[in-house]
Amino acid sequence: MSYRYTTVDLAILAVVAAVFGAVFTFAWTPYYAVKAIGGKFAAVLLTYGIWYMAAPLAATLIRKPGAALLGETLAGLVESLLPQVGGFSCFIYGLGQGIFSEIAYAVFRYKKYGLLQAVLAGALPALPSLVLDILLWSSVYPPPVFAVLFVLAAASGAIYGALSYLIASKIAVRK
Amino acid sequence: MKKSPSILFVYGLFLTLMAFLLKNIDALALLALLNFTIGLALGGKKFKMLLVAFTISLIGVLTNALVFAGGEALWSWGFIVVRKGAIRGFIEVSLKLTLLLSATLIFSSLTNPRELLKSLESELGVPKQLSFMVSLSLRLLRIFEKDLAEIQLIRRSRGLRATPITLSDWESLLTPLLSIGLERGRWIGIAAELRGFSLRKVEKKGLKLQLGDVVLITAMLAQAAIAVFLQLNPLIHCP
Repeated sequence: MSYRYTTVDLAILAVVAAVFGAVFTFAWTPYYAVKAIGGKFAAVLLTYGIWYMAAPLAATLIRKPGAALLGETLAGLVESLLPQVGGFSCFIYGLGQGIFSEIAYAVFRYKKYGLLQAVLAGALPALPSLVLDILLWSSVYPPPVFAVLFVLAAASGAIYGALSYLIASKIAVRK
Repeated sequence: MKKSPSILFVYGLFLTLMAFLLKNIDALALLALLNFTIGLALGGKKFKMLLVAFTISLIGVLTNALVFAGGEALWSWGFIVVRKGAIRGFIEVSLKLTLLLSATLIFSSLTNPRELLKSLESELGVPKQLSFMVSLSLRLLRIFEKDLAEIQLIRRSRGLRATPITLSDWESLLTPLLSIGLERGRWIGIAAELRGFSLRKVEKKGLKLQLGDVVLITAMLAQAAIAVFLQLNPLIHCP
């Protein structure tokens, strides 16, 4: 299999970045809606994984090294170029999350792009995401709260990673 | 004073990194207030809705601080207890968010993503593949907004909720959006390749610093130096 990116691969990555750049900006609405009803923990469990979806989706579609990293980072970059409160932090979150998603595929030497890999690629970004949250929010949340948030974010990421795999499998079949 | 979009991007990233790394209130306050003032002057009118969203997010920060932050109780009213940690936490996080917003206001007021991509490619030598992907993404955003509106119309007509909460909601939203998008992406990629994208050579001009760029770089270095100094020698000592 060739690992060289074709122009079609680049265009597909651009599509993933555009869709998720918009989804990431839109996802704050369900996040705040769930948070208002169920609190911070419920909001993290039900919605945090959305911000980790671009990587497993891109990797499952493209199936080449670097696809997960590029998918997540580009989506973060697109989100940060749209004027919004988070600004360039979205790019930094995207880059960190993309690197850890990429690890899920690198561990299998880029030979497998199945459900397990997608679940891992959705769960692993919880670590850099929470580390960055700690840097920003540590004066508000005590350490035990962050420990719980990490577990919830990883679980949410795993679930949405599986969803990414299912969506990618559906749309890849349709081509 | 002309400024390179690449340098503006680097300045925005610098402010964002400072928001993540700085813990000292003096340093945060100095950088946040200085850059927020500049950002407001440049883009306060243009980005009014952003300022409204920022104010709402500060209310969220205050709520989180009151609920989660610890420390000695300073004041209570009914079930609302204001702790020492909550006040410090609220101030620190608010200053960090102010810095993040300032970066957006300054960048978005002085340049735009299209100029940035041209600048990154020709001045900083970023690969054309990266700028192709980002510029295509930004153009497709407008198209996907319309697709999304149509999909939402169909979803609502089928009795599905507008704001996706469950996995099934997200699946019903994303599958058609991505399916349409991927078909577009494939044909755009083929068209670009047929027009010789792979063979295109980028004219690299190199980065020529103008006066505005020198001012920005000097401001970055000065703020970094002051922040490090204040981090090591805080003016306000907080327990």
